[in-house]
Amino acid sequence: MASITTTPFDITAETPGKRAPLVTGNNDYQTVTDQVCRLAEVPARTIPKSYWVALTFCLILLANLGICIGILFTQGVGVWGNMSPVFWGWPIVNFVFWVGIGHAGTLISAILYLFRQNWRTGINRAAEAMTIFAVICAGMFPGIHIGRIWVFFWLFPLPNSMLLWPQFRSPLLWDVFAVGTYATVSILFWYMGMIPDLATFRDRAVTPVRQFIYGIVSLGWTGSARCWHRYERAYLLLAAMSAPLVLSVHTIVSFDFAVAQLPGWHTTIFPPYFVAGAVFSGFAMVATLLIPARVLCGLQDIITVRHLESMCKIMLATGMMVGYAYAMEFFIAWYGGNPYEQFTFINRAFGPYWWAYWTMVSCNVISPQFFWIKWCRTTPWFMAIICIFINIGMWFERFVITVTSLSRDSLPSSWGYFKPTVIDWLMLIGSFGLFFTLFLLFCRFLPVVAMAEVKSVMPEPVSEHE
Amino acid sequence: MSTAVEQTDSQADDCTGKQAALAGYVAEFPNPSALKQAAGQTREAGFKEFDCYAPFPVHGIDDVMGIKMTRLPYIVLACAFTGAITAVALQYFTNAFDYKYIISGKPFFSIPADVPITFELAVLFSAFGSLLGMLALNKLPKFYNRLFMIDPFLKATTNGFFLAIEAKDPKFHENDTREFLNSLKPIEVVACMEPNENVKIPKIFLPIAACILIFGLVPLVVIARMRVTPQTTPRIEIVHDMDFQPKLKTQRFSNMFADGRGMRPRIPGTLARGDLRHDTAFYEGLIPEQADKVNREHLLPNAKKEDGTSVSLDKMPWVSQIPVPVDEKLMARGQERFNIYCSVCHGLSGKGDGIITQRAMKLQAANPGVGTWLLPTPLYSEPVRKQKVGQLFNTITHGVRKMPGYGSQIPVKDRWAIVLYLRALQESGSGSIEDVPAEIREKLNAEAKE
Repeated sequence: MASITTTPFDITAETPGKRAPLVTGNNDYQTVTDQVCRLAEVPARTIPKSYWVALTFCLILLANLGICIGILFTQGVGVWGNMSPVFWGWPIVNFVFWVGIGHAGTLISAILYLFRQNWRTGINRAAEAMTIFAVICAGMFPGIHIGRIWVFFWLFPLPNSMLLWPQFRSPLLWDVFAVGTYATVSILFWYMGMIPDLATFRDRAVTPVRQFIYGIVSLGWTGSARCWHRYERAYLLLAAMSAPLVLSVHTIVSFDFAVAQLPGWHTTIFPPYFVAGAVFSGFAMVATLLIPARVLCGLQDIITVRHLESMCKIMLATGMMVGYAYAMEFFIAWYGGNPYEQFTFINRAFGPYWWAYWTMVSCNVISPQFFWIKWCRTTPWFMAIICIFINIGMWFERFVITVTSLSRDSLPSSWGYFKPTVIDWLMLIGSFGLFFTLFLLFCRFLPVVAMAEVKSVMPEPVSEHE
Repeated sequence: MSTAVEQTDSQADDCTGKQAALAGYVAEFPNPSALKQAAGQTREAGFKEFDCYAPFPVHGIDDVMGIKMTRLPYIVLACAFTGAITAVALQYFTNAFDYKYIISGKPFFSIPADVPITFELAVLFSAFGSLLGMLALNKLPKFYNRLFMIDPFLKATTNGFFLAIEAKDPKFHENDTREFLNSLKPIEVVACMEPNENVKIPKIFLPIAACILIFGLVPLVVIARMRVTPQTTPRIEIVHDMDFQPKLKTQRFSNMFADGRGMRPRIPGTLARGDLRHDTAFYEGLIPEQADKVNREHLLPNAKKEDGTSVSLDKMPWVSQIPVPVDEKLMARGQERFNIYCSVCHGLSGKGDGIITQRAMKLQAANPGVGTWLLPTPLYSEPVRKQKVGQLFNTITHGVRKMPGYGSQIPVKDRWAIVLYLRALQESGSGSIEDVPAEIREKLNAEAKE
């Protein structure tokens, strides 16, 4: 492989009036392809050690998740800390957390596509993959939360011997459809985007096994202009449908709370607030993943500092939207004049869970403010720290919404304090194991960057022919 | 990338068949612009069956090649409508038609509640429509393509830009077309041959596929058969649901308690529900010590003994004292309840001249031989006065002769209040002027004279 030389000084950051190139270094179509395919094509023994260390660590966490699920299935949901009055504990917190993270991928591929944001090309594949893995983690939690796991299919409208049907007037069923549709459409979108790149893998394959497998999954793609025409149209249509879909999913997730009459949940701000939070946490997770992954896969020329900086700006914007929502919740609680609502919000900030509330505020509202400073936006290691803080803050946001509202409801005699069990902790950690394992496998076996899309935004090579 | 312009006659190398026919020519170009230019010239030259191949969509090549707008959006629109209609129909059928049930007073079929799922299914169906529609219109998957047989073409997904003219085009000519392509200044022009027709799917493949299909159906057939066959043996319980619960049942042994009994004895000093009913004096007007001997059936109106003779209620062990504290409040309550429940037949004074009685007697007098109304016994008559309070209570509870029981309508304590008031009525209805205190007598006389 040709060695790539990048310019020593930073030409990648955005300066007003002048756009940084999307692909840096003296790369052409061939070298971009080589870089993207490298981790997927090199023999196992030449993969960097850091990859194996990370994969082993993640597999241990995944095994821990498997054990926890086994314990849960054999012992029942009592192994969790869910207890009156907090019947929706960590499983739902984790569900909303992961589903929120799963919003960045489709947002990048659909909404930024419709807005013609070309910088999305470098990161959209990895973000979409992350979306799917996050939705898998998210779907797992309500899936194992249903108690009688062996009748999980009652979630779906299937004819059965009891002649019963699901209840379509409930937000919980809307959730099943919303998350199910979102997962399916994300996978279709992801797969469709990968077909040309899988064809690249097929054509570069040197072993019959790779040739066969990538030959099957690339469906015989040739890159014909007539095919590209329909492909681009299909991509545009999918993007146009996914854009409202991505907004609808977290809206419907927020209905799980907003349709209930519990003070602290029953607010109309929830849908936009949840969507902003989802985009915020999703971008934070994309950045958390891509900052190490671009080094691991050697993709610094394709996922440049400009890409990271753009993500920082989106985090700054959505972080402030989330901060506005926090403030507005308090304002409405006061302005609405409902004493129960007022109590709930004062209790949130100054009650027994004050530590969770202020963790949330400092991580979600204060930490993204660093991104006003250019150095913070263009320094990957610093960004990674901020993004991890945002991830923590967004988890706490869901914890605060779910647990503080439930633990002190309208009946003071039933008030309680939620305590997670060891299984709760191990499952949360295990879900990260599942997520990162899937992502590492993705890096090894699938095209991590949408090569066809990156090539389409690269400058055309000078004809050597004239 | 090689800078030399090659023109290879690779007929023998690139194709598999020995007597292979020419399928077309493939020309490689160095960059998208050159490809686009070549595509325009090819179209101008009158070729129809040609295509361009690039690792990414080349901007503007659609117009240059004359590619018409795809029908895909209409397919997707149809899918979206199908999804939306499916969702509405599903929600209507399941919750408003096939199995109606009320949830929080919501309507069975409500458009706002249907919106989320309708939207989701519309998107889901149209997403499948766009992917599968795109693949179908592109005639994919197509795992075999003669272009894959040409070595340089493997670059088409990395950095190669190709233009292919097919032999089936009416303007195609073996030598002229090659010359034409060379005139477009390509890197190289390669001939592409038809696949060798001898290469076919092995004949063994079909029987094997059929066998796999048939054996694959066996489990499904077995399951379907089992589902419709009645079984005499208990079902196999993979998951026990709540059929076998680790709980203590009555009359069972248990290690949990020192006495080994699963059932627990009553804790001393506590009452079970209904225990207070044992107070027969209060609830039935019977002396508690003798109440066990009384056949409760005999307390009902018009009861007969087993030998057919009438039951003598007077001989029952009735209590003679009202078993609740007697005070003026109870008397007032009794009067109020009596006037509500009893006076309609018995009259306010207990004489038996209530408004129903009066009306019934009038009707009976007008229609002789019709009606069975009996005049109520005056409550201050001698037989009623002799009855103990327990018996009066029993009469209110169960009724007597034609009088229905009021036990279900009047609470126990109120019945005793009525009994108390009855005693007062009996006093007033059977007493003489001497019973009245002297100072009130004159007042009564004066009122009587007016």
